[in-house]
Amino acid sequence: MSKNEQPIQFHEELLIQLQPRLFGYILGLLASPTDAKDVLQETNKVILAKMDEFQQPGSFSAWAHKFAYFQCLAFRKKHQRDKLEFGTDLLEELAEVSRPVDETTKQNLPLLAVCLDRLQAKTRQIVAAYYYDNQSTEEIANARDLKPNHVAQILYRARKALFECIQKEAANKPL
Amino acid sequence: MNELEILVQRMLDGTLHPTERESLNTLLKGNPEAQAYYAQQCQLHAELLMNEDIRQ
Repeated sequence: MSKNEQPIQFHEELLIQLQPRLFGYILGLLASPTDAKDVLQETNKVILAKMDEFQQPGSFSAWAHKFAYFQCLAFRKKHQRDKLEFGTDLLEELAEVSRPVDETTKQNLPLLAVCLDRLQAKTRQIVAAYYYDNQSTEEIANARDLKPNHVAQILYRARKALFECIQKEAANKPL
Repeated sequence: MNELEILVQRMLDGTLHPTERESLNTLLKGNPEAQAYYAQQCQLHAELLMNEDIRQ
């Protein structure tokens, strides 16, 4: 193994771990799950191509998020005419707000698992169908004789409960 | 659910209409509190969707 091989492999592993956070960040900047998936793929391609340019010591996450931001800008430029993209000011504001939120999410990840456990069984089943089995709110509704709006409400309440649970647990956690 | 919460839910679902997208833009612009809520929801959604370590 050459001198450079190990760090690149290590950073590829970091990039894999970073996928949910990069997706959340891009999703926030584009406000479209479909577009965010495409831009995440583009971002990964650019990062992989430039992997040997990453300079230690530095935050790999911060470095990767910069590429995500530029890919969002490029996407926005390409689609500005036919889409209702966020304006430059709002995009910059959101990018600034998102980074500390993203860091907090990372720190609180173990709490998310704890809080998922505390959801009611029925809610947890719907969360699992939606997030893990990729079922649409309509599919979930049809399988359970519910209205899609009701399923959307349950998911909304589940995320709200998870968020509040995480905040509460984080406040109680010893430093 | 308030308007922002409804719009964020629809955005995450991929069912946001162009007029609703416009309302979301307006609600978020110059409103750090709404932006923080929005960013938190996007991150939480992404972790639930893609982070296999938290699945049971």
